[in-house]
Amino acid sequence: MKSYIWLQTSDGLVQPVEEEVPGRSNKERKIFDEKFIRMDTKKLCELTSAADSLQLKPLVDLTSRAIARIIEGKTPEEIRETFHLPDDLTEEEKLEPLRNITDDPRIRLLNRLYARKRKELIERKKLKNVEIEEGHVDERSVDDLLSFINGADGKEVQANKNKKKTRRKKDQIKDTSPHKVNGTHHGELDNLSISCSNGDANDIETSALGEAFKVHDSGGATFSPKLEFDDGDMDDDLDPAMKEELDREVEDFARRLNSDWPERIQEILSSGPERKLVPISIDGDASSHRPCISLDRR
Amino acid sequence: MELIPGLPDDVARECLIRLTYFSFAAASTTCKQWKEEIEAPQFRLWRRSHSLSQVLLVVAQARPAPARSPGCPKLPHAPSYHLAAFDPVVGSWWELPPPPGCPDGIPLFCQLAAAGTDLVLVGGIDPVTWEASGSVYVYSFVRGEWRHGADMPGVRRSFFTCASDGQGLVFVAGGHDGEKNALRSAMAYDVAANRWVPMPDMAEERDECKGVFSRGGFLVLGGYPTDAQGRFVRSAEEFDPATWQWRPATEDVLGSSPRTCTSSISNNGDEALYMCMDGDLLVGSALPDGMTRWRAAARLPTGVGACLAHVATWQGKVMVIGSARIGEPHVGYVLEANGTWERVEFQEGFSGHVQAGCLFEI
Repeated sequence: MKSYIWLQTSDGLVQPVEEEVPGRSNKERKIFDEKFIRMDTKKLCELTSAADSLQLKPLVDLTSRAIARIIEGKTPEEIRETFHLPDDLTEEEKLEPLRNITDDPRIRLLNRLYARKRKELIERKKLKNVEIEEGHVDERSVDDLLSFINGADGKEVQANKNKKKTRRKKDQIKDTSPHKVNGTHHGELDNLSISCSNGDANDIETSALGEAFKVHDSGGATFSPKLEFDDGDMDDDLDPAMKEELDREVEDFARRLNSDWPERIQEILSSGPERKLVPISIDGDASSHRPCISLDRR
Repeated sequence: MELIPGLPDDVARECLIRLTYFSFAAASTTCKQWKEEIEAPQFRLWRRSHSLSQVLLVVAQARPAPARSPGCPKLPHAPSYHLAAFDPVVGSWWELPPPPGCPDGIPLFCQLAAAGTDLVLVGGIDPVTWEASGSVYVYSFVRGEWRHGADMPGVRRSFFTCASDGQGLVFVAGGHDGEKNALRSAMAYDVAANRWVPMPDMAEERDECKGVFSRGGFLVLGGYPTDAQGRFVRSAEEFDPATWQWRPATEDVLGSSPRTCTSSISNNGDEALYMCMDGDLLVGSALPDGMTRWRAAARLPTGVGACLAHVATWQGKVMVIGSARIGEPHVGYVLEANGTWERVEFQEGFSGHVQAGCLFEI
């Protein structure tokens, strides 16, 4: 039941176009659905059964997806408990209790978020003009950005600071800092996730970010508190509550960094003219415990 | 006993098919009924019919060199290869656990095949001893575990080709033996029975050939015979599993070395073969008389100019992986419907050279 209206485009073409019926947007519907199915498992099963009897296919789809999500991430023991399943497998048919790192959906979720963020950043970079002296802003790898943050590139930081357009500076720094989070997160995640695999997603992130902060405290970057995660077309599986928590953690971290930024800039500016581009390891920094940072300069 | 107490079985099934492959291992080891349900081949077909199949590209990928302290000259060394999985929808990579007994990485130049929900790793060259290996390792995505498969019988071969029918048979053909004699022999591995089944010989010796399972047959292209080293022939042969015979070889199928050739089932059910040659992506469609007609689908992007490592297709999409210059990190390009290539950056640590790969729809 779609209603159409006729529109004339700028090149003179007249075309029928679907008229948007006033109501809820798709995003609002999704949020409503997410809230709607938040109930205990027993009720959810009953709802699914009812939906099936009433042959409400969209509701069956929604509820069965919710049940699948309940199963995800649980150990076999937990699944048996939740759904009252019999424990009738022999010992060799069962798995070892040690969970594979890749099984953790929270890590998967974080990976997904970061993958999306990286994509956005790359796209944003493509749209920007290159004004940095080295002219490498579009091609800087994560390694380069890490060294930038370590304060090894005093020149680049100064160039940033001396930008007339503060908005550009904010944009660029906003640009590089999430990269830092991505880069360090990927590096640190391997070390941390094994130990934190049973921990909370927030713990993983805060501890990883905490590591990053500790490592790179010789030079920071302003974190714009408004780190937008483009959630316009975010996956259904992203729990909005978890997303909010993650956003909050990121904001906290941003605040922590921001509070140190003025002192950092003072330090860097005062030693600015003498500083040259130096490889990280010679810097003798705390950061040198990450030996896999490449020493290549473009 | 119901699948999920309180729910009719077909509704419980709707829930189970909506799991992601990360949970297969846990879910299939809760109770007998769930194990049967998830391990049944029907399960995958249901997922596919509900468009819930997840695509996973598994590759043998080089790992970056371990760190050296500054001041120490950078010594060249052979990279070690590991298995990584790429989810093209999410755009994320994760590393598969290594096969048992491969602490220094998987065998170099091994072949990978996707047999249903099992990854089969065959042969290769041992990274430590540099000997040709006949080992077979099988990784089940349902259980999240490796197991040893029966070794390849017969002469130790390398640089053979390998492809699966996607249902539990893995075909191996060609290659060369220890004396660099090109082989015309072939054999098939039955994954479920863990057994190698002999196949009749091919019409020609084919070293470094390329095989792909397409339209119900195992197609082997190119390769070269012992006395014409490096001079790839332009013929191809197809093996029909129904009759367990090779069809007569067809000449003049190719223009050059078919190292990058892959097959896929596109959206409308027609299976299309893809091949990369001379900077073009060619698509081959079946003609009524069994021949293949090749036409250029697109020009390959310059980003894979120097090194085209792998081509994969799924659900009508084509992805090429390569690098613009030797030694640079690899990137992927996905062919869009309008003919342009969309670049896919690979995250750090997963941009090494890709040696072999196979695609799963689980």
